Amino acid sequence: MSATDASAVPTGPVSGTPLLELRDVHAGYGPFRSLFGISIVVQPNAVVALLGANGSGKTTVVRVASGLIKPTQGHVLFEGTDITGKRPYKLAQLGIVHAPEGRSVFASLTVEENLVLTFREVFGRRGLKPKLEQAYELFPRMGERRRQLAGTLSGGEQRMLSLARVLVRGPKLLITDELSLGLAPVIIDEVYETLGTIRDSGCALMIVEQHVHQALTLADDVVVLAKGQVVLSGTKEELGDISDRLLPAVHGEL
Amino acid sequence: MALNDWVQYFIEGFPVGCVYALVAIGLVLTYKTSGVFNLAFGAQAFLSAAVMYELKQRGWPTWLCFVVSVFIVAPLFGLLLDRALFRYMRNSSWVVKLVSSLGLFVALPEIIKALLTGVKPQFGPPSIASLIGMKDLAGSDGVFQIGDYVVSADRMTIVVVTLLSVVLLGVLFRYTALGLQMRAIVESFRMVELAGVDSERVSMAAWMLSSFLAGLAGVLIAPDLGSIDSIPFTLLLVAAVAAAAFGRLTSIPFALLGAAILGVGQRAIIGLSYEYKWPQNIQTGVRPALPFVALFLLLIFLPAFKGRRDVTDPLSGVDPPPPAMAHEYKDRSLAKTSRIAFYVFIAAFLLLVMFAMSDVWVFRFTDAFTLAIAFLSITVFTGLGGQVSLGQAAFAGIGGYTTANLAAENHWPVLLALALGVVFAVIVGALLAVPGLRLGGIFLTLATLAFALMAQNIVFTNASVAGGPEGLDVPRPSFLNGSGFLGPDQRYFLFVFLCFAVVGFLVIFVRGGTTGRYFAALRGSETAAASIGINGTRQRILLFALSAGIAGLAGGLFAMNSSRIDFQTQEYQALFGAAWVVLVVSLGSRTVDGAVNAAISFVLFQWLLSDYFGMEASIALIGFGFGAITYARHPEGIVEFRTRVSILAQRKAKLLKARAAELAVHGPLPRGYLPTRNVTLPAIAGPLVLLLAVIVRRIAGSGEGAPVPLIVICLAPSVLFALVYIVMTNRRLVAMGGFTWSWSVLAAGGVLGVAAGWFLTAVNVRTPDFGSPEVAIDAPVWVGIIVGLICGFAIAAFFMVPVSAEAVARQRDFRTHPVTWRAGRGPTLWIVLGTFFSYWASKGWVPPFLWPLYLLGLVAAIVFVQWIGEVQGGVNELVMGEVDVAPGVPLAEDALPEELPELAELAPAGGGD
Amino acid sequence: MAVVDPTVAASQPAPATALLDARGITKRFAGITALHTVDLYVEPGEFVGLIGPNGAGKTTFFNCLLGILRPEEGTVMFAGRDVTGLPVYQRARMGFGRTFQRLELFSGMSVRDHFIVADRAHRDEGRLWKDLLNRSKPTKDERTRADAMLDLLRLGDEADKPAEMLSLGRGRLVELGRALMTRPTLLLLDEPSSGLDVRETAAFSARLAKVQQEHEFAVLLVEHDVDMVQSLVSRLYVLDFGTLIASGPTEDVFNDAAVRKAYLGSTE
Repeated sequence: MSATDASAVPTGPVSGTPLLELRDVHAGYGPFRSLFGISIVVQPNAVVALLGANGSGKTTVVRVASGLIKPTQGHVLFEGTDITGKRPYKLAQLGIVHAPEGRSVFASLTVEENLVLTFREVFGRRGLKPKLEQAYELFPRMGERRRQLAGTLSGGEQRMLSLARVLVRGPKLLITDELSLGLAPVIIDEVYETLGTIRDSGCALMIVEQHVHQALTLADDVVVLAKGQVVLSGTKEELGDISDRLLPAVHGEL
Repeated sequence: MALNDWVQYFIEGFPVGCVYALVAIGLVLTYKTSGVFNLAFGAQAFLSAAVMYELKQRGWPTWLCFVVSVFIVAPLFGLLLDRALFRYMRNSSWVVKLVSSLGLFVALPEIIKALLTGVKPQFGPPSIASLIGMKDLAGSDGVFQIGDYVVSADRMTIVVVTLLSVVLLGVLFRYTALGLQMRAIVESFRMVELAGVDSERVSMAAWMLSSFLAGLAGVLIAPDLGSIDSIPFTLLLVAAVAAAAFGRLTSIPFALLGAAILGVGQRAIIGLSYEYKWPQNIQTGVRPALPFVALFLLLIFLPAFKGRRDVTDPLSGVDPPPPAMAHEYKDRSLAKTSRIAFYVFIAAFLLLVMFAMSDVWVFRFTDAFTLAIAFLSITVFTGLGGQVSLGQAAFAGIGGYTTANLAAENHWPVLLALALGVVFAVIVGALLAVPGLRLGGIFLTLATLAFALMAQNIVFTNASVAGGPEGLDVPRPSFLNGSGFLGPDQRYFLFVFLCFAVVGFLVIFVRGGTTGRYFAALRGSETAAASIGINGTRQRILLFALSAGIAGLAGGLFAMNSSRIDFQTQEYQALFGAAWVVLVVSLGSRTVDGAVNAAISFVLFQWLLSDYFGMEASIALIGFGFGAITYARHPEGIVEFRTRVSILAQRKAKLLKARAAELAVHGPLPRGYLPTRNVTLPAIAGPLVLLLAVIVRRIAGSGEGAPVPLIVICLAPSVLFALVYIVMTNRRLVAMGGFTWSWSVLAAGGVLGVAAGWFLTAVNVRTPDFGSPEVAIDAPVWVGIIVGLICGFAIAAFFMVPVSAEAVARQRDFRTHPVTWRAGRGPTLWIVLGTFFSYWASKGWVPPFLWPLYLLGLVAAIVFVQWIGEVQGGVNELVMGEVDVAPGVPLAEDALPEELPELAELAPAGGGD
Repeated sequence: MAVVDPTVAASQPAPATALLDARGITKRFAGITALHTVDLYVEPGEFVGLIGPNGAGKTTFFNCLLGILRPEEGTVMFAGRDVTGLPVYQRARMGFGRTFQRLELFSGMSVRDHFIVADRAHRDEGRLWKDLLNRSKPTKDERTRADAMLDLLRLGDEADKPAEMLSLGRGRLVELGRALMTRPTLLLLDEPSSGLDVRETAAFSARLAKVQQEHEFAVLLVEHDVDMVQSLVSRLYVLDFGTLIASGPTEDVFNDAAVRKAYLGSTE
């Protein structure tokens, strides 16, 4: 959808190949369809904000992208290869990481076990230890609580833990769904700072947000959904002043 | 002395406890990793023990038997369960998982008995004590001497193996990646996937491991049980559940402790009962019942189970919502038609039973409708209440024994006795509800199972309850006796049918009324229901009481049906009650017609299999057990599913017709559009004429059966029509962009069919039952070739034509394919069955009487015609454009009539099309 | 309990006219004190807010008020009666209405049926014998009331859809309507804006304000959305680590330094 961002340096294997591409994707839950032919492109190292009212299909898009649901029609491409219908763990191994809405840590495991679960699979037994230390360096709070059950952490700390998992793992694409949901304003800012760090480490982001302003602090490209279709897309610059076209689109007044 | 006794109890009881612990650990393992509370676990233990026994009988060395049965068969079976069954249930609710495992619980022992051990228990199972060197370690007389006490080598083996396994499992969970993944998958397999771990691999490993534990437990305990028989193994499960409950279904050490207490406790009861000279029935009843009692008490009193809900998957929103009830898709005219059809059907059925059926059949239908009442109690408990009870048979028993005692012993009028039986069942149900209130989901189910087993083993075995070995005689209501317009059996049938009709309407009324709405609210969200002022406690007690009362009524009627009951009466046994749940839930627990279908098919199948075809009656249980497994795909029940499919097809046809009418005004209709009726009617006409002719011949007195010319004259036009239809349709599909190579497939089907027909009728083969080689089907070769040609061609078409239609739909960007290859499965199955019957018949089997065969033939014809209808519906949609009848978008004029819409759903399913 | 500011006391004594008066509520979980002697009152017809960072104990307090949790210490008085030991459904019949942060709809039930069930449950209508005689179809009165509520919340188009098919925003309105059908004198709202976008939140607030004016019930609102709280609430409590750190008129509380530090952080 979006033109290649001028500031983004393509780092994919083939220059100019988008990192993630959704081509005419239809999807839904059982008899209820929520996406009707969506096409979205995420360039390497770009930040795409996915906006839209409730029920516009944002969450379905990210679930299709991370393999949680299979599209009934259309294709999903990652670095140019077709990944339509692949299982989520395969995509995670390819480098697509999805931080789902709401609680996204294993409450009955300790903080360290939460990290180990991810790192073991990616870095193997050998690589485990240095990566754990790296995580604790980045998030000293997690280091202090490494033996604590993740379920006893506060909401903000849980988000931090899931971000720690993501950050150290170094994915190619991070998809976040409603990260700010249910968090106090202070913590939201903290979470978004971390997202900035992740972006700077060379990872592309796809951010789903209710709060337009919050999302726009990071985004390069913007895609607006309504009723399961893309109604507006472009770079932040192309769209100009947000109250002009963007907000009406998000609120369904286009 | 007392201390010495306790040491003795410990030494003898602890090994048994160890086996309980092994099963408990395996149970917890699969429960935690896949959410399936595997009720078939005891049956899996039975499988390994049976395999070991059979191999040993064939003279294999013990170590090989052990390795094959425990290290190969058991894990492979776990793999099979995961791959073939439970993998597809991960997103399903606990009810779905529970019912599927309940199906296995019912079917698996029967399968093992049919394939391996035979119906009778086998004695002298082999022991593995010598394998691990226990025999050598033990003293010269094969026992261990510990101080003054003696432990047999077998028991020592159990203890050593268990402790070793527990340590290894602890290490696995604590220190390995797999263990960590297993613990994580408990919370959400989707989140595990997002972390980059293949969750299917993990759950597969968990299933194999737990199945291995079951197998190990089975082989270990077999020498101690002394025989290979399904029931003790199956009930091993209950003891294991009790032990697992002691560990709150999470802690392995506590499960081990609980298991040890149970094992020792059971042994102690024997000792104490001798020492203190307890009454006989406590001696014999309590010891085997101890696990049930313990489980019941643990569930009721351990705070951990209070209002416990399964951990919710944060990603559960990915699951599609359940479908709406079938009758909600009906439009006004359809509802009206099916209501009229329903009354006509009932009237015809009653007349048939009254005047046309022999007494045996009247009796069978009486039985079926009594069973249907019992099933309605499950409709209430599961369909309305959303809970699963395995204790309905116990309530039936309470009703039955109360009725019998009052009527037979105290000479009360039997109807009054029946009423009191119902009242008593209601009271017990309400009393059980009070402790049951604290439990939800699977735990309530387990408590009801424990309750039923307790009632069966402690209460019903009492001579003062069930009248001892000679049982109790139960009279029928006196006003039904004596001579009159109808025979007494017919009048009794009417009485039972009336009872059923009353209960059926009550269930419908309750579902549509306030109580039903409150139940629906509580099913949806208990906290929200409380927040608007619904008293959950009261509703729960009501649910228990209502369903117990209905079951009690059925129990009383059972007693009257068979006129004599004793403590072994099948209908009051807990395991039989478990089979009921499987039946009702897999056929449809939300509707009355689901219960009726379940009851009638149960009675008919038992009769068909055992009396007509001379097989084991328990084979029926295998069928129904597997039926429960289909529940995973259609949690609303098969009847409900079929009804919905047929209603949706009718609505689609209607919309297409309306579209066609619109188009017809402007010009010619697109080629290929034909109202479905135009192709189904000619196809079904032949079989209907044949059936009519047979009935006329019977009434005219020219004997049963139909001469070959009549069959050919009636069926040939229909078959010819169907063949022409297939060719025409395939041509049209190819023209629309379907697969051109479909012609080759059809031709190949025909050629293969000819070959098969020739082979079956011309080549001498060695058939299983007959020594000398001879042809399989005794018919002229040319008949075999022609029939084979038709059948082979048809089977190829059954699958190929829908596949071709699917391809066209895909090209035209249809979101849902109007017809898929699945449509071909039904008719193909019937052709295979027909071949099998022909083989059987040509081997000299003569059915006792013919009309069941005609019935089967008619069903087969309906299945074939359904296929034609489905395909034509698909073709219509292809040429007219996609039709959307998604739920929630009712057409404006489709609103249901206000008055009694529920009556419509009583109409027999599948009667449409 | 530190009194931060003379105008913004952490707690004030409840007036005698208070509809809800929770005093000294303390709740511990396995040794951790989730709530520490929290006092809160709501007067009839008043719009009161309760805010605080995550894990401050808002939901725990909510559950103590409703009877889902039993506090270790403290009493909850409602309309002059001590309701501390009463079960949830009895409080509901006395006039507590509530909504949920995570939607708790009756799946499979249509929106209209939600309202009818709530209406009946509130009146404690419905006996089994009536069902058995098939005399418990919705009456004309009940339908009228349900339709009125559907109109009020503009849910007419969704009336016959099953609840699980609704969007989150609509679902929240259904929950509100369901609570209102029980004619509450006190409505407890648990983060109604959670998961709603700015526009939906505004629409929800507007509808809520309108209904509240018409029916004059009291509201206790737990919420993160500062705009929503400011536009609706006349008096505010702030909870942090299980203790009240401030209470008083909304304006004053938002200007309070401690509140800004604990809750609002860098915003504004």
